[in-house]
Amino acid sequence: MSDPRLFAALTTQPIDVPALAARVAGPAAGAVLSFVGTVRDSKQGRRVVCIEYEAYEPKARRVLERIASEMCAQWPATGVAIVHRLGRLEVGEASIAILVATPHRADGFAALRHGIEAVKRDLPVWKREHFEDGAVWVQEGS
Amino acid sequence: MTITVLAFAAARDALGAARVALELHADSTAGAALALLVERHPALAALGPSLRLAVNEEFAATHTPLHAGATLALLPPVSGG
Repeated sequence: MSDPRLFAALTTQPIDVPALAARVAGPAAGAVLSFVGTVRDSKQGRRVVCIEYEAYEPKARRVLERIASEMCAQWPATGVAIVHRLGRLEVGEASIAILVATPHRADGFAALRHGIEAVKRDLPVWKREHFEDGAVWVQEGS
Repeated sequence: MTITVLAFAAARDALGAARVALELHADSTAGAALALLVERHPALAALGPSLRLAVNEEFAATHTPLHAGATLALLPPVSGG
């Protein structure tokens, strides 16, 4: 990605949110906001053991870059980072982190909201929830 | 001509493989390729109209033409985030 304000990646390693916050921060920022999605321990009363994420990787990378670009184009963001984790995640681990730095907080909240909703709608990533008695591919955003 | 089919998540389970080579008539469309796959792997039919298609990494309609060497991806409804 050529725009130095933007960072978008897929990773199989734990997401280092403080490192991403440091990356998007800068002297023009008055606010650094983050959204971190984490693995919940239950789904409709069933205990979740772990979640497995897979991606159509080349396309997912391009979609993440597009979403980061939109956040910078539609709001006066000085830095944006989006990282989605892949592979097996335990309860409590972060599956996604979106961070944005803006001069003022209202733009940051709006850009962040746009980012996560676009991820939920467009990112070619799928999660398989593992329960104590089996596993299912999740078929809708949740 | 031969194309490559990539299948993800529930589509991969239904196809029984993440990647298969598919022999098609020249001038086939993405929809024709999907119909052939459903015929051979009836479990794919259950995913039905919820499947999105991508050709060479771009979202595609059933009438999108395929060329030799194309990559057709079968994408169930996404659930990232």
